[in-house]
Parts: sequence; C-alpha cells; structure tokens
Amino acid sequence: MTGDERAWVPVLVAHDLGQEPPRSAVPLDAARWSRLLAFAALQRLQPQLARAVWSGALPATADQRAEAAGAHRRAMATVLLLDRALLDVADRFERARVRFVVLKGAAVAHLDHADPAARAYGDVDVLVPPDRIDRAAACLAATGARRAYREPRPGFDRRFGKGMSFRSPAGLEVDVHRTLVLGPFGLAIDLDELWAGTEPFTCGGRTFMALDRPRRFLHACLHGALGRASPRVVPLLDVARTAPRNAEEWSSVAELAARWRAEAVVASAIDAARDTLAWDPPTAVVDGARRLRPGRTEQRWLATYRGGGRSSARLSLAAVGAIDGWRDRLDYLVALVWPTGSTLRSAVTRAGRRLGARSGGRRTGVAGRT
Amino acid sequence: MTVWSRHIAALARRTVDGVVVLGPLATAPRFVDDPAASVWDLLAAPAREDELVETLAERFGAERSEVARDVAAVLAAWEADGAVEREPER
Repeated sequence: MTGDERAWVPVLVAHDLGQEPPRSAVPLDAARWSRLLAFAALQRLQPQLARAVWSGALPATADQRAEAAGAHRRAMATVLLLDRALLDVADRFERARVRFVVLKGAAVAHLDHADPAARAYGDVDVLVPPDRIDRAAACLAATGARRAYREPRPGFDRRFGKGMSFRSPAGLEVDVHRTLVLGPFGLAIDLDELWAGTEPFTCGGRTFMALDRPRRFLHACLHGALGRASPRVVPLLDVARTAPRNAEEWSSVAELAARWRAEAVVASAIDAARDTLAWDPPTAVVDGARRLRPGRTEQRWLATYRGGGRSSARLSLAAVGAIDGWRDRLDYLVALVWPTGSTLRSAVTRAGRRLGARSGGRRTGVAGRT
Repeated sequence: MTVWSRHIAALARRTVDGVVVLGPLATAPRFVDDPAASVWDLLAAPAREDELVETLAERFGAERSEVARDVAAVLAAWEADGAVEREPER
C-alpha cells in the first residue's frame, strides 16, 4: 500500500469499527478516484467504499457514487455465486461423509457483521480433518474442478500441507485447508484443539459450522500477519471484527495462542490492525496484548514471513522446526526436495539450486510451494 | 390474493442502492434497485401482494397502480429464478 492508499483505509472502515470517520470536504479528482476504486477492488473493500460514499463520509460526484454502487453490486454478485458453490460443496461433502468447517469470508460475513453485505470475498474456504482431505479432494475433482498444484508425495497433504486449492469449471476458487496457514505457524497448530470450538451460521437455508469467535480471531491474526509480506486490509478488518470483547474472551484467545506458539502473530496482527485501520481496540485487547510474551522461536518464524525476503523455500525450511520427531522431519524434507515423479538427477539439481551457496553470498532455502 | 415468501435457498445481499438475489433456479444473480428492492425487505416475512403494494405506495408516495405493476414485475422475475414462491392463500 502507498501512503495515499493507507490514508483512505480509516475512512473506508470506520463504520465497521463503530468509529467516527475522518471526513474530507470535497470529492476526489478523477485520477485519485480511479486509484481509490482500483484499490478497493484489489483489497475487496467495495462494500466499505460504497458505504463511505453513500453515507457522505467520502464526498463524491454523482458518477463516483454510481461507480461505487456498481462495484458493491458486482462484489456481492460474486459472493452469491461463491455461497452457491459452498452449498454445493456441502452437499457433496455430506454424501461423502467429509466433516468440514467454513473459514474466513462466508463465516465472517454471516457471524461478525450486522449485515453480511459488508464483507466481500473471492473464494470458498473450508477446513477438513486431515484423514478426510483426500476424500474432500476426490469430491471436488469429481465436479471437474482442477487442483492448482500437485501433492509433492503421497500423504503430504494429510500430514504436513496447509491444504489445497481448486478452481471449478466456472472459475470459482475452492480452498480446502488442513491447517490455517502455510509454514511453521500452521504446523504448530494443534488440529484437535482447532476443531474443538465451532459455531453455527445459516446461509441459503442450510446450517454450516464455522470456528468459534476466539478461533476466528486467531485465524484472522494468522491471515492478517502472515498471509502476505505486506498485510492486506480485509484480514486486518477481520481481526478487529472478531477481537475479544472482554477479559474472558481474551483469556480463551491467549491460552490457544500460547499453545499454538502464535503470541508473536497475535501481537503483530493487533499492531497492524491499529496502524492500518486506525482501530481503537477494546480495553481487553490492549491489556491482553501487553501481557503476551512471544518466545524467540516465534519471533524467528515471524521474520521468515516478512518483507522482501519471504519465499516458500524460507517458510518450508522454518517449518521443519515445528514438526515433532526426526522421522517426520525427514519425510517432510524428502517430499519437498525430492517429490514423486522427479528423478534423482533433477532432485539433486533442485536441491543444489535451492539449498546451495551462490557467488556473492550464501542463499539458503528449501523447495516448497507458494 | 397471492401470498409470497422468499424461497429458503435463495441467496441475497443488500447493497447501497438495491438488492442482489440469486434464486436456486437462476444462472446468474439478479440486481433490483431501490425502491423496488424494498419488496425483498418486506418479504422477510410472507406477505400478500396487495399488502406489499399498499405499503410501498404509502412509503414512497407513488400511484398505487404504478407500484402494483412494478411489484408484479419484480415478483415474476424472482419467481422465475426460484427466489420467491407462492404460498397457499390465507
């Protein structure tokens, strides 16, 4: 985000945070408006832009009002097609006895906003138990959906993977997650504990399960702090919308964060949300965040996700430290360095290229997926 | 007079200037702008068509016959999409 774009964010999200928006007096000129419109689309903030314009928080010309409304309309049309895809996934998974939980967009829209039209999203995200992930993949493949990348070795998805991504024949993306994030923080999550807290919501006449609020908050923190080298706005808005409202809720979050080695992530996500959104968090969050004591390993892991040096190779290498037992660590590394179907020669070449030193300085990494 | 209700599987989102609805029979979402979109809001509970017309004519200060035409048109479109259905008469 540029400085100009950052300045718009508090205006766009103020309503979602229950805060008074900073107001400007005159509409943006055509060039700045075009940039704002593109920014809102990129960040999936079309509902926030439309509301800011139509409420008068962001002065606009008649054409700009119409464009903002059109952007909101198109975003919601996409969301409805995704909700329909979710209903279809639910039918198929139910027939195949694949238990699942809805993550992110659809869950947050229905549970954490007074009006689900305030949350735009661009894919369907579901969490499935590790022992059902192959069956879930088969269900989606049967619809003609294509997987975005191959499993490195049989069993990798079930044991180590973040999940897999499918694109339907209609072009909709369905992500099946085993855990919540790529790399060491994803592998440090206790999956039994992740599944232990769920909450229902209704969509299209069907009841779905989502993670409960403390787990949604932790997922938002993981996504907001780690999803990209530079945090996107909507995951940070999810952090604010799902944040603990009192000391009791904070206590649930803090216990899970400590066990999942995610205290550094939570602290980082809260800071990023405050900074980017101009969010004024509840007292329980401010007080609780002060008591977080992330360990050195967490800090080191966090650094691998940050800045220009981020790569799947770095994340994969850091993830080794989150895997218990030398045998599993070895299996993990073998799968990444020497995936099924590659020859010994190509594997050695890959490993040499990614692990080896280069002239002008050492370059360390491990083959992995983005 | 026909009583209308939303279909349980209909998907919808309110926007700043209307409503986007995806009925179970529709191939694509349908947008209806305000004030006709208010029909969707009123169908949060089953309603008779003449009640819908009456409410909207009063709310927007419009000719009853004109409102009746608009309401019938939007209900017909949504019915074709499977987004609304007729209930047994009360």
